[in-house]
Amino acid sequence: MSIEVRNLSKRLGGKTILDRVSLDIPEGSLVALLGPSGSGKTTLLRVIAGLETPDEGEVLVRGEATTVRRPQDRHVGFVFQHYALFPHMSVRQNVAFGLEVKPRTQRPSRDVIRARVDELLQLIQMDSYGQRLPSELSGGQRQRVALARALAVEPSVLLLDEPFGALDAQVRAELRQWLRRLHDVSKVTTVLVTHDQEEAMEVADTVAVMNRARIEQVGHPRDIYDHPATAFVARFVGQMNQLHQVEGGTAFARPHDMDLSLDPADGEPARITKLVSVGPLARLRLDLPSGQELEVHLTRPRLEELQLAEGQQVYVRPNRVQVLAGDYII
Amino acid sequence: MSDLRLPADGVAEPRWLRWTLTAVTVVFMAVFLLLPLVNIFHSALSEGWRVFLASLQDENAAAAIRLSLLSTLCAVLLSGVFGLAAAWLLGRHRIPGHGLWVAVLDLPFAISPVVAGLMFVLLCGLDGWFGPWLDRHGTQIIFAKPGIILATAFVTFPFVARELLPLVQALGPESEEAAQLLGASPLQTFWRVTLPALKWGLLYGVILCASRAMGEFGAVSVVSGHIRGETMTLPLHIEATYNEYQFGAAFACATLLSLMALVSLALKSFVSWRARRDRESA
Amino acid sequence: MTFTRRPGFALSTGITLLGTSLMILLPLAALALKAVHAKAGTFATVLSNPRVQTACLFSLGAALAAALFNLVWGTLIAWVLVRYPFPGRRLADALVDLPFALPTAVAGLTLSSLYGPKGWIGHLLPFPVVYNRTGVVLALSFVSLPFMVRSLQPVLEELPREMEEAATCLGASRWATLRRVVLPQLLPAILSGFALSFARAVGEYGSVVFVSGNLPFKTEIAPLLIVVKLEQYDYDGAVALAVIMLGISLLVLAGIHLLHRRFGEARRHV
Repeated sequence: MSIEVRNLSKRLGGKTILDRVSLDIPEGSLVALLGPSGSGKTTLLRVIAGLETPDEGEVLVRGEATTVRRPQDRHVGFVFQHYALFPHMSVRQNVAFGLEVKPRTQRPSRDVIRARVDELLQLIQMDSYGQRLPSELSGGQRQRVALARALAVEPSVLLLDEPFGALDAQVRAELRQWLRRLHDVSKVTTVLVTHDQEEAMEVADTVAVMNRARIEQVGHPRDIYDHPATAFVARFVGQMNQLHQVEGGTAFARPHDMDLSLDPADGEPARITKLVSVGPLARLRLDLPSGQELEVHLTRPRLEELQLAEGQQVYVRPNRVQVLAGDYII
Repeated sequence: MSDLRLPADGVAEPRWLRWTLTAVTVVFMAVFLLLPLVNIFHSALSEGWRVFLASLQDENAAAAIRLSLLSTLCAVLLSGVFGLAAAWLLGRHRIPGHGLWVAVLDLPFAISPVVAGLMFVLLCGLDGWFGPWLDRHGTQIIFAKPGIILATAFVTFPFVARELLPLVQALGPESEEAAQLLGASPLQTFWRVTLPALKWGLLYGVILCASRAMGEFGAVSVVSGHIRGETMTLPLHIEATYNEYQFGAAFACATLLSLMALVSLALKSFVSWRARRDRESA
Repeated sequence: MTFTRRPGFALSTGITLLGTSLMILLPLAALALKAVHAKAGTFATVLSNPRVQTACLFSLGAALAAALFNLVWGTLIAWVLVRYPFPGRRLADALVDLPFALPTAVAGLTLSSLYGPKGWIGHLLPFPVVYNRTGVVLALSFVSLPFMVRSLQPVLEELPREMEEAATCLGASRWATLRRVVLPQLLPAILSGFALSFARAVGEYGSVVFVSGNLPFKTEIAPLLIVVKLEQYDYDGAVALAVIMLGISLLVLAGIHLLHRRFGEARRHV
């Protein structure tokens, strides 16, 4: 189901949380809201769910205004960072909850509920855990149960608020891929809130980068990385070197878009302060005479060709420069 | 932030219900809790300032105040020393019968004060275990001041220990071990590391203990013998004057205890506020 | 916790052992031994006395009524204090502790005057409260109200709001969320507060003597009867009653411990 966010504004205690935010979420897409903490992404998600009311603006679901509707009637599945499982209910009871609280006329029969829960437990690969209490599960298992619980009511939209934020790096990576596969199968319109750019880039079709109550850029992950619209996006998504002020803004270059040379004619002088060559790329930190620091990534063959070492004097030159207006501080 | 945020419709109770419940609660608390307090001061002064002051300067009232202060002081000291030792022992060490010991600390709270008083009568009274022996040595405990002090100490005995035990457990042995590795002697470690970390809990426990000790009635009543000017604490003095229909005098003495209660409430709020601030800044 | 003996272990063990033995266990032993050594049949005689029976039953009934009163009002107060911000909330929160801080004799004194026939509240009521069973329940409710509020409040404060939001998003009405998600998680705290209230009320003496009028067969409670028997030098009778009271206290205490052990774990993890 498509969602249209139109001109949402929200203020709280004199602080602007959302500042005229608009966003289109097409049917069946997986959109990531990416931004630092306090950028307003969680509030936006909660407004879409109806858990919070905006001061201005509206949320349209399939072209229909929902801002006045109660969260109970919005058919959203919401997954919280800290799972929010009901601790006194077993895994089965948690998953079945949304079906069992339906009004009597719409409530499926007991057998249908049982079959639906079985199906979902299978989907999250936890068939044998039905009778366990949430306290007897690991963090990753709890979050899978929370997802199954949200999916049980067949929501038209799935909203995920930092769903993997409380998990270990490894579990996180697994769940991320699992979520992507789940979305490919179910095609439920999904909005994922995260502060982890890697997570957003890997999972989402579309990334919306938020900063200070506004959306700075919306686009395909690759476009966001290659063509950041603002200085904030450039620095928040991936590593970026800020080079110098030019007319109309600031010049930026990605670390892998820089090259080093031993020939003074090839660029500005710099000194290597740190060289780490583990993995396919060598990461170097350089000091410019101005005191500015640069990060440069070279391929292994290039590094071997140049025979570089820490403390050495080199000459640095960007291969590709982007000039972006404005200067935001992260 | 969550405090300022009013939940959206459907997530919380409807506004009219919230308002109604709040209003009902406030009215209930005003009538059920606040009004009795106001009534004490109003009744005490209803016969005028002169009666009020005279009631407090009465010889028996003064003696009762002195005895109450004395037994409170003893109770606080006993509870404090025991509390520090017991909390540290039970919070740091896994000794045999640990759970039972902690449960025993609950006993004086669970036992009816009257039963507590009775136990001391059975122990030290003339018909009791030590009574005849004490009598031969010319000492009287029951129906005398020592009995009142003992009974008060019993009902307040575990207060400090109960406050400190969770704090000691939460504190963990790391800072004490660090101090000792830095060369501090056990005594220095206690004074400079353990005690400062427990100070707010200790103060909180002492306030609870003192406020309960000042007001203890049932246990003291049983062992007192109600001898005017001798074995009457302030609460017993209030009962005696009340039974003689000297309501003005009874309420005048009650204001003293009420003021003490208010001060202890204020101190408690202050101490828990400071403790929370210290914890948050740590 | 470790097994290593820290410096000061001997001293603190000594103080703890001495304190526990002299101040808690020795008086208890005096009561227990006196009960064991009582003449055969004393208990039966004491318990078959109708005055004793009436007092014991009334004590239990009044304490139960007070605990029920607190169940309703204490739960409401805790809920409003935690969930509904209103001006003066801090003051109201401090006021909850008043019955703890106010000596029971003072509580009894002011309640008997306030609800007496000439009191601010008493003269408005069509039925007598003081020197009546209602007055006893009132006094017991007053002194034990904080137990209910204070055992519920911290649990309510720590209850994550997300759980209710999750239930709401799943389509549960507010009422269903309260009944199926919130209430089951508060239940252990409610039960524990109820039991603590009851335990405090059943042993209460100071405030009751002021409001009850101490009428045998009517407003006489068990602790008062112990005092009466002591004044008549009926030690066996007093001990028998005390043992019953002690048994009730211990039972309630054990129940609360079980409750915490049973539910303490599950709550901590999620």
